[in-house]
Amino acid sequence: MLWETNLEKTNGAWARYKDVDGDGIPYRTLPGNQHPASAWFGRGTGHDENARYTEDSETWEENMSRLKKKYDTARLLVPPPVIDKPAGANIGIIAYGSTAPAVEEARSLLKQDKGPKTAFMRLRALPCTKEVRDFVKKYDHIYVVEANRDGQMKQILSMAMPDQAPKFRSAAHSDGLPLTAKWVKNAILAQEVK
Amino acid sequence: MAIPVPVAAGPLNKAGLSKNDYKGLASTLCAGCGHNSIANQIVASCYELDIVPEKIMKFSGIGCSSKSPTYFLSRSFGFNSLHGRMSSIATGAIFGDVGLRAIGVSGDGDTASIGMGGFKHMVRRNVPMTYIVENNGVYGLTKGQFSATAEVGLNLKYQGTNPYMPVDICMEALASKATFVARSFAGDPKQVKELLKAAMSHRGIAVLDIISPCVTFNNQENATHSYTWGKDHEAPLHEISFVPALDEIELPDEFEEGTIREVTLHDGSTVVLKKLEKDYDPTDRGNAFQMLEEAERGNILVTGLIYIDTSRPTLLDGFNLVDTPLNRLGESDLRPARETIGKINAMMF
Repeated sequence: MLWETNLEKTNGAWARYKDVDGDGIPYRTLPGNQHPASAWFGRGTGHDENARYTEDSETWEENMSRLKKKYDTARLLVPPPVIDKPAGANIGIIAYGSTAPAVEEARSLLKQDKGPKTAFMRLRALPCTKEVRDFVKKYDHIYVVEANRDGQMKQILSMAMPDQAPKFRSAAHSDGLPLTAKWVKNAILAQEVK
Repeated sequence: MAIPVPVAAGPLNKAGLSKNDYKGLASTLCAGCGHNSIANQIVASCYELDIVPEKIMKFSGIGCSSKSPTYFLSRSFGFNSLHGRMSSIATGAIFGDVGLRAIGVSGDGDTASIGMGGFKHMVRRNVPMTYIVENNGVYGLTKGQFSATAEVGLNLKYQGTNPYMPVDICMEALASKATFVARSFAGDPKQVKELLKAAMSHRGIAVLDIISPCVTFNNQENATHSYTWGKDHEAPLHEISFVPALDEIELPDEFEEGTIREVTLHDGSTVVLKKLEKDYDPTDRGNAFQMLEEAERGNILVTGLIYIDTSRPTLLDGFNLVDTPLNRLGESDLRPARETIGKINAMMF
């Protein structure tokens, strides 16, 4: 954030969409800043580094590349996943949000029934951090458990790491109710015997 | 972005700025578009009111009208928001720094169709903002479909005949308890400018419905949003003059008792209304409704200050805001002490 004192030091030189320090996240100013070079016009159309309207294709591409860089920076800043990786597990489970407690309970049921030993990762944010990729790489196959008809998180993860995509197995269910531990356990076992 | 290079251009105002300091980029709207005329009057009004451009925020939604904030006040922060969402975005931004003035430019589609809900709620909350509707009765940006303010029976080349009744922006504003309602005509720039100055000095929502002809898609002689119709049918309620707070009111030589009304605004400035054919009291809401009803029935474009209430508190008055603008508060200002959080938690559980 740049305020009046920051702009005085640069004699007003700054640009709203210029990536100064390589993280893809430019500086900005806010209304109320009284420096005469502070204002900018926010718009949904194409714009250059100075927030001026443009339809120039090179400028458009540069801005899109910057946004990609910004997305990659976000990978380093979002909350990392919560991981439990017991020794001897060769199956991974990924879940998120309110499905996580059902997965915890399902793992307990699997243990009780002498089923496969599992590792668990509770995903807390996208884009995927390095920990997510490391987790996926570590295990033979991964169940993505989600309260979703189409298994969209499995699709997102497959797109994020296509080289690992064959490992993902979907355990998706959507009947308007929260997933139960019993359903999660059975969904995993049904695919384990195949 | 760099410090604007001063260009010698005419006299300086009390803020030490020339008219050039209030200008925007060159317009890309059609030549002759009413919106360009309104943008010019916004520039003139801000210059004459001696407002520093950095003390203004400008907002818009989507449409030809909403492109126009680029064409005035380059030194002011601006936000071209989503279609019909200017009201909600502006309301939030106004809270960021209550020391700034807000000007919003919307259109008849952006306000009377997709943005109607937001518009009505912004009005009833009396958000301090000048809300301009550049009303041309047609969707110009998408090549000329009927808008919600198009008159019933309007014939457009590629659309046929409009079967629906029009929305009256001023009626809607009044029904939602607006504290400042005015109608003007882009072909009457002098009146537009005086109303803009009054609106920007009003403390509360100021709705300006400005009939602003679309020269490309809806400027037929018999269309109620055209230049010809507007010029032939405009009937000003009064001759309006805005007098800044520190200036003395100079009444014209031909002044006769009972011909002048004065409305004092929050900042000490005054709106002087000179009676024309009939006397009109803009502080009587019921009267305003009746006048609009009669104007519609009589097929007249009544312009001027339709209604004003300077006594209602604004949205901001209901909040006990700190003196420092909210957008300048840092983490240390906002994070409660550990003991305070402890007390709050103890109260909850």
